[in-house]
Amino acid sequence: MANFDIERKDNGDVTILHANGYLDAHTAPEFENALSTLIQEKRFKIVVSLEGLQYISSAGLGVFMGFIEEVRQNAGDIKISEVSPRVFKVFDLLGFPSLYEFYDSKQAAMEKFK
Amino acid sequence: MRLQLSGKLLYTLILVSIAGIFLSESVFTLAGYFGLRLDFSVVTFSLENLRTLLIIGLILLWRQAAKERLRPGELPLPQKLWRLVALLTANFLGAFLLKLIFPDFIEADSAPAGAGANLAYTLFHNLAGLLAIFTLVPILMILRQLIFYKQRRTTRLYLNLFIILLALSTAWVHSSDQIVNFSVIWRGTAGSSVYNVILAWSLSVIILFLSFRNDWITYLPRRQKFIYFFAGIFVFVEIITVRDVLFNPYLQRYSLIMANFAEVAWVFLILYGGLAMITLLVHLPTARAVDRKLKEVNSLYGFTRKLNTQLDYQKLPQMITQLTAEVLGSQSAWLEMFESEHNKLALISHINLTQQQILNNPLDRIEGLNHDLVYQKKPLLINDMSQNPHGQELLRWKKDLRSLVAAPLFSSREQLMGIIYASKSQSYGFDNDDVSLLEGFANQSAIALENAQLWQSSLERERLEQELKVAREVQLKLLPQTLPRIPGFELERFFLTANEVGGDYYDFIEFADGQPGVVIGDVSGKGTSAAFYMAEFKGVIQTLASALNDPKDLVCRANRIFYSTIERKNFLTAIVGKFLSGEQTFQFVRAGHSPLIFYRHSSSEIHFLQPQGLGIGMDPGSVFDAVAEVHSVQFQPGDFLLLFTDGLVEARNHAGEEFGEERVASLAGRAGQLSAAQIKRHILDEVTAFIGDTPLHDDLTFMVIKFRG
Repeated sequence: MANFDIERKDNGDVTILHANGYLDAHTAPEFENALSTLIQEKRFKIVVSLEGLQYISSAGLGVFMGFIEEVRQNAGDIKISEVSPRVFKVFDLLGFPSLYEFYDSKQAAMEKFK
Repeated sequence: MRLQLSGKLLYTLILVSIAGIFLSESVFTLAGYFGLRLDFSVVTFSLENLRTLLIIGLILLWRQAAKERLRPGELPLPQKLWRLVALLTANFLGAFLLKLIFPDFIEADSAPAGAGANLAYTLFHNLAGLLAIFTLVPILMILRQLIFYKQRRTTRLYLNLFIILLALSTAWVHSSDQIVNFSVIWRGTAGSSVYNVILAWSLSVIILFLSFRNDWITYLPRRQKFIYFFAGIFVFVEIITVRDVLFNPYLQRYSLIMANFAEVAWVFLILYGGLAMITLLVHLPTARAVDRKLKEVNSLYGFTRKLNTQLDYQKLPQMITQLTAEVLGSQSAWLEMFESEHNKLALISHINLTQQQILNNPLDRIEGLNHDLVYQKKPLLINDMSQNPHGQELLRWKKDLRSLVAAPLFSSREQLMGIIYASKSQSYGFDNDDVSLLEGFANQSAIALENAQLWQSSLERERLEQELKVAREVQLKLLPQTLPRIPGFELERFFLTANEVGGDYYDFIEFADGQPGVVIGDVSGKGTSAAFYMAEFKGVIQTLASALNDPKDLVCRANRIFYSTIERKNFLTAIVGKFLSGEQTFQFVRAGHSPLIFYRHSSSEIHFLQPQGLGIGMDPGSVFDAVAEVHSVQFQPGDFLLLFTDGLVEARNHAGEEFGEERVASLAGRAGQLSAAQIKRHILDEVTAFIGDTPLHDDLTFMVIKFRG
């Protein structure tokens, strides 16, 4: 199966997660672990950069939804940046843009946290 | 010679042969007795031949009878040997008895005068001859059985050669009027016939070859080896002397062929017996070791057999420790299983450990003693605690511990499963054989435990599969069994789950105002949980529809209900549509679902309809309500709608390519003239052709709504 990996970069109180590859039911737990680690560390300002993401399934979308409530309750947010048109279509179909903020660049997303 | 004669006929023939032999010999005496004169030259010759044939016939008949009667092949080894000795002794005693009864005839070369004496002389020789036949034939058969105890490739060949040589020697004896003289082997060939030399040598060599086939000795228990060796000395003396006692010299007078047969049998007995004695002698010193090995193999076999009958994973460990303690004769034994998640060993069964000892088990980690066991994969033997670096610790734990053996259990994939230990309360309680025995036990235990685990999990899986099957049946019952009739419209649907139970859903509903509607949906995730949400969704939708008229209202309410019950990371997507009364209007709301395809017949155009809408269960309500958009389609004759779940678009072929929206669209574009049922067929054919034999990875659902006008 196609691979998935996630890189984490802390930038002040904002954390950037780079998700690459295929995010489906098999790889979603990896993404889930990364997010729950951040929450344990009380880092609630999160930018998820999807520049390298080729595919997302409903299980992948579910991961965002699983954490957004707790993050927002703690004055944080999950912002999504650099989504490829193909992947964005999936987000859009489900109405994500009305619940999450999408940005063209990490910087723009990080700016919003200031 | 494979004579298949029934028992009665066989014995009759044997009796007839005996009578014939006897008569053929005494015919002259009897004739003289009755005052008859016979033409000697003719009658003697044919009588001699007849008698020879009868003797050969008797040997073959008796062989057949003995085979059926005694069945030497089915006897256990000690009984075979016992029969052999009994037959030899019968031979010996019989001959002795004959000598006692007829002392005058032994050395007499010709019959004494007088008809009575002549008859007695004939009787004596016949009895002696018959005694030889009746004992030697079964003796040779038993020898044959012993030779075949462990058959090798050439065994049968040698035996056949022997029989051929025996037959040749019989023929030669008949023509040359002398028996094969084996003394040429040690006395030299001077003065003997070439045939005699060849026959004597080849018979001896083949018999010698056959005599090496005494594998049965190797597997005898030590005690029996001793008994057989000392008993064998007497038997061997018996064999050596039997020739002079029984065969010489009167057997030659009786029949040369008979005497030759006896001679060859005797050589066979001497050589086979002699080599057997030597083999026994050679095996005596190692008998103890062989005994131990045999015992080891046997107990390992018994161990394995008992373990294999136990498939209950809960009962197996206790059985393993029990059997180990029994076979090794150890006071205590215990089994520890490795728990990889804790990287520790847990004592799961034991013989004779106190509760205290179980709690304070010092051997619960892969270190110290256990380290070598696990990493070198070798068993361990401690016979002297005082000399061992871990001895003190072990003694503190278990005061009576003096010697200890242990062996690791590894799975077939070389994963550590556990360690088995056995201990005794005396020093030097175990030897190396015990260690290898325990090692064997450990291997067998590992296999048995693994099998039990597999069995257990296959039972578990079977149960789950059964439950999934039930879940699927329930789910299928939740889907509409019939298609509704909506004036002017044709409806078709298709539903197929990828897993046993899936998250796709479709339904036909009726709104509060009585207008019909359709629903298609997809719960995120797969399997049982998705099916549960699907079932809940159906209930919610049906209930709401009966109370509401507006599809948007329905979807918004459903979202609020679902948001409060569904797990945060789950959601579901749906399209809920309504046929408006009196008009050809279809009004629908899309809640995060795949777009709907609309085919406009008049312009042959395909439209992907994707009004705004969030998935159900993603938002508490306010955003959802604000975003949700109602869209209307105005039907004209020939138009149709295609509603589907992402299973259709994402159906993959073997190369991993998706069927894709474009293919769906072009399919729809080509389906303009078709009926709803034909469109469904068309789509199915295309998808099936595309995916080939690749299994579906997602549920596949679609619905065709065609307006006839």
